[in-house]
Parts: sequence; C-alpha cells; structure tokens
Amino acid sequence: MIEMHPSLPFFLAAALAFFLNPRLRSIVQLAVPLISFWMIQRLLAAGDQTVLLHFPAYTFTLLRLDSLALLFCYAFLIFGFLAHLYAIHAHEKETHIFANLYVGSSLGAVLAGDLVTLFIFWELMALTSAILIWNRQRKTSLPALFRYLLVHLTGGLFFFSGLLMKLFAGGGLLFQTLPLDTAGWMIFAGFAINAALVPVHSWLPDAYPEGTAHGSVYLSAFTTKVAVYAFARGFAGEEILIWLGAVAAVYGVIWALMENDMRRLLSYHIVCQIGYMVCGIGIGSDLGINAGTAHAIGNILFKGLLFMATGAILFRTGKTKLSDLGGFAHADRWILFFFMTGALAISGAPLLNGYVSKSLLLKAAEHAHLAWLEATLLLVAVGTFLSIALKLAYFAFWGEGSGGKNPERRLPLNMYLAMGATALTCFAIGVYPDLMYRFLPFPEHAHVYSADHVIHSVELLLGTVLTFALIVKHLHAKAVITLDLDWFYRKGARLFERAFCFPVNAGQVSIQQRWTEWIANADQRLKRWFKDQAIAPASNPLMMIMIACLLVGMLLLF
Amino acid sequence: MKKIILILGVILAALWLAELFLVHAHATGIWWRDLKGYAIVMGVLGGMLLMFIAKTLGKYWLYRKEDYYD
Repeated sequence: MIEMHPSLPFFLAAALAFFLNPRLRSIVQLAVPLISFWMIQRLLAAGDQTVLLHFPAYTFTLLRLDSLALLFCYAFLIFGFLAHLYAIHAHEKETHIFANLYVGSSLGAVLAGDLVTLFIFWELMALTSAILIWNRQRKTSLPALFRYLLVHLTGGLFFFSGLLMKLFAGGGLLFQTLPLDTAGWMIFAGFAINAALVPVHSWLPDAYPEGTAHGSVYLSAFTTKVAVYAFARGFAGEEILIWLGAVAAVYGVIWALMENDMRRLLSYHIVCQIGYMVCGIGIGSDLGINAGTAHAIGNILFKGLLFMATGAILFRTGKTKLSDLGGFAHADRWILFFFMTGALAISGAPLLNGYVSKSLLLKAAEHAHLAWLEATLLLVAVGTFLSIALKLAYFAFWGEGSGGKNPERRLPLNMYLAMGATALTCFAIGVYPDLMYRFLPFPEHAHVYSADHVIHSVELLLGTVLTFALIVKHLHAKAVITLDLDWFYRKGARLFERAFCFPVNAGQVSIQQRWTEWIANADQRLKRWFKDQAIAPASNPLMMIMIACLLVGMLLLF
Repeated sequence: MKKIILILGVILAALWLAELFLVHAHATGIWWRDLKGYAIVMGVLGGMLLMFIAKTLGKYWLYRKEDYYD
C-alpha cells in the first residue's frame, strides 16, 4: 500500500532532478503534482483512506485522508504545480531537488495519521526548506540557514519531548484532538514555532527573504500552513489560540508598516495572516474552523502570488529594498497587475478570495460574540491594505526613486504564466466561493456577498486610501532595518557570550593552568624525595601514587 | 494629490448615503457596528493610528542602520 502514498511522486521527482536534462526535468516537475492528484483520486475511489506501515514495535499510520487533510492536500498540490511552473527555468539543481522534497514532506505531514509520522515529515520539512533558504548563496545565506535550523530544531525538540511524554504516559499516538496537559503544551510549543506565532515568530522574516526569487515562493506556502493544519487538528477551540492569533495579527501588521525590504514586509504579513487563521481555529465553532482553514488556503494562493510578483521584481532588477526601487510600473505593467491582484486579495477586496475567507472569519467572531476580535481584525485589514497595496506598491512601482525604471533582465514566460494562473485562481474562488466551500471540513453555505458587507468592505478600503493620500508626502522609504526578537539570538547572544561565556571560559583556563602547575610541582618534589631516599626513580612516580590510590579505593569499595 | 483626495471624498460620501438609505442591515447588538459609516471611520482613523504607532516605534526604538548585524 505504501506505493499509494501521494507524496511518493515528489520524492521520486527529487531523485530524477539529479539526472535529467532541463527539458525532461521541466516535464517531470509539471507532471508530478498531477500524478499525485491522480493518486489521491484513486485512494478516494478505493474507499480505503488509511495506509499503515507495520513494524514489530510500532505501526505507522502513514496516510489518513479525511476532509481536513484533503483540503490542505489539494491546496498544496495546486500551489505545488504553480510554484513548479514559476521555477522551471531555474538552472540550479538544488532548487528542484529540495523543492520537491519540501512539497513531498509537507504533503506527508498533512496526511500523517499518527504523531511519530507527523514528526518525521515535520523535521524533513525543516531540513529541506533550510536548503532553499541557503540556495541564493550570498554572504548572509549560511548564517541565515543556521539561525533557521537552530529555531526549527528547537521546535522539533519540543515536539519530540511531548511525543515521548505521551508515549511513556501510555497514551495513544494517533494525531487527533490533544489535551493541553504537559505533553500537550510541549507539542503546542512545537506547532507554535512552526506557525511563527508571536513571540516565536522572528525566524520567519529573518529567513524567508533570504531565498532566491523562486525559492521564497515555495517557502511562503508550506511550513506555516502545515502548522495551521496541525493546530486545526490538535487544538481546535483552545481559547489561548484566539489571543495568540490576535497578538500575531496586530504585531505582524505594525512591523510590516516599518519594513523596507519587500519580501521581509510580506513575511511579516505571513505572521499577521497566520494570526487570522489561528483566531478562527481558536474560536473552534464549525464556522470558525472553516474560516481558519479557508484563510489558510486563500493565503497560500495570494501570498504565493505576492512572493511571485516581488520575486519577479528581484529577478528583473536584482533589488528587493523599497529605498532602492521606484518607477517599476513603467517597466512591467503585467507584474504590477499581478501584484495588485494579490495585494487586493490579501486586503479583502470583493471579488477576490481573501474577501471570502475574511468574511467567514468576521462572521465566526460575530457569532461567538467577540466584538473586540472583530474590531481588531478590521483594524488589521486596514493595516494590511495600507502596507502592501499602498505603501509597498507606491514605493516599488511609482515612488520617489527610479531604481526600477530600467531593469536589466527579461522575465521568462513561465513566470508570467504562473503569476497569471495564480491570480486567476484567486479571482475564481472570490467570484465563486462554492469552489472552495465544498472542500471545507464542515458544510458551508455562507452568503458573503450581502449588500451591507460589500459596502462596508469598500468603505474600509477607500477610507484607508484616503488616509494614505493625506499622509503620503510625509512618507519616505529609508534604507534601514527594523529590530525584532531575533535580536536576542543575533546580538543578545553575543552580549551573553561576552558577559557570561568568556569569563567562565577564562576561569576554567586559569583553573586548568593552576592544576597543571600543581601536578608538575608535585611530580618534581616526588622525584626529589625518591632521589633523597636512594630509591630507584620510577618513570612517573605521581602516576604510581595515583594508581595505588585507585587500587586501595577499589579494594575498599568491594 | 488634492484631486485624488477630493474624488475619494465624493465616492465615500456616496457610499455613506447608499448605506444610510439603501442598506437595512440587521442590528448586531454591537454599538459601533450599528453606526452608519463605521467602516469609513475605521479605515481613516485606523490607518492613521497604525501608521503613527509604526513610525513612532521605528523612529525612537527599532530602526537601525542596514549593517547593524554585520
């Protein structure tokens, strides 16, 4: 049955990417998501939606295909196809190999039926995505890779500790609703690190902008969404998720407003949008979980599109900082169009998919009588629109500078096609929400296009445009970076090293020196004593005494 | 820019009138949700508030030169 696993084609394609020439490799890359999709259809038709792998000590539930897993599988496959299409021109083999491994392990993680299988795919995701971060091979890439691994392996340790605690407590390891006991909290912490919830979020804006134009497109979609899936499966309805989600949403949007690097700005919006999803899951009602997962699916598409568009700007100009760009609208109208589609979708503009999932979430908050949450989410929507569709777009496509006016390179056709197809998907779900509703974990028939809701959304967005128009003359893209909590392990660790590690090290060295001197002195004295007593000097008298002490000690012990 | 602000003002006023006379939304029981035009106020004031917080945090605390971590 293991040959039925839908992530298997991705692992095989990763192996093939080693040997094949670029043309054949491109065909394989585009075929793999389709083959995987066909395998899922076969599994669904067969009616047996679990795959077990028996070992004497443990039976792995390699695959469990229910509605929640299926929804994420479809989203990953659609986006896997689009991202492969975006990247097929790339020459470096590492991208194709590790992107396939990364997508395959993400699929494996959402299909995992038990915690051990989930953990294995979870760690595989961390390792393979790390290579995508390093792949741009700049001076900063290797340190970024190490920081990324440091954080993710710490998260993995939390997860693994929770898993062991559950095992020793005699509980089953099936991945289902988990109680928040000690083991549950450990696993929760592991999930929270991968979901980039504040305060364990800073790895994300630190690492994701490091990738290549196409590498970061893969990164934006999978790790955090697998964590959202894991929360939906394991901790749906836990109130703490609402609080963590609201904090992440506000935090992400404020840091995004301060940011100068386009892809770092978008990374903060991943933190922010994960907050939305986690709020929905924390509400825990059918509508809340539907809203959280629908927003995860929407986010894979529109955030992917935004990373594709900014990746295209990077590809053409070699620049990612708003202070270096400006005037790119004159160079490429298509990229402007695709970027604005993504930007309007993430801001919740009607006719695009973000509007549908955000409306579901606002309804869920309203039904749960959480007026404060509704107000917070609306405020965050304002900030999202302000920072992406207005600030980022203004400084990159128009703005004061002219760094983007005359790009050096042309964009390959496949990148345009990928952006076009992603934009079309955002539009299709926005116009016809039933496309997505039918795959949500619970039945959903919400009517999101009511007159009052459409008018409120348009008012909210136009009100924000008015604000931007009023303050734009006071805004300037400055070549600065913004501190975040990664300061604690980037700079703070150095201070810790100076204040604590260096003195401890110096102390240890001085103790060692004194000890060596003491032994040398003792040795010399002993030798002199032997000489004075006219005893034939042994080769090492101190050693003899130590061995004698050891023997006496052993005698006493036994 | 003044022209854009003027056009936006006119569109927003039209939307507010449409909301006032044409939309009969159900009462939600949340006081600010039942006010006509709350979304405009939220867009304008919310945008200014967030921008103010972000710029103040950046200017007085969090902005550093680009080579800070090098």
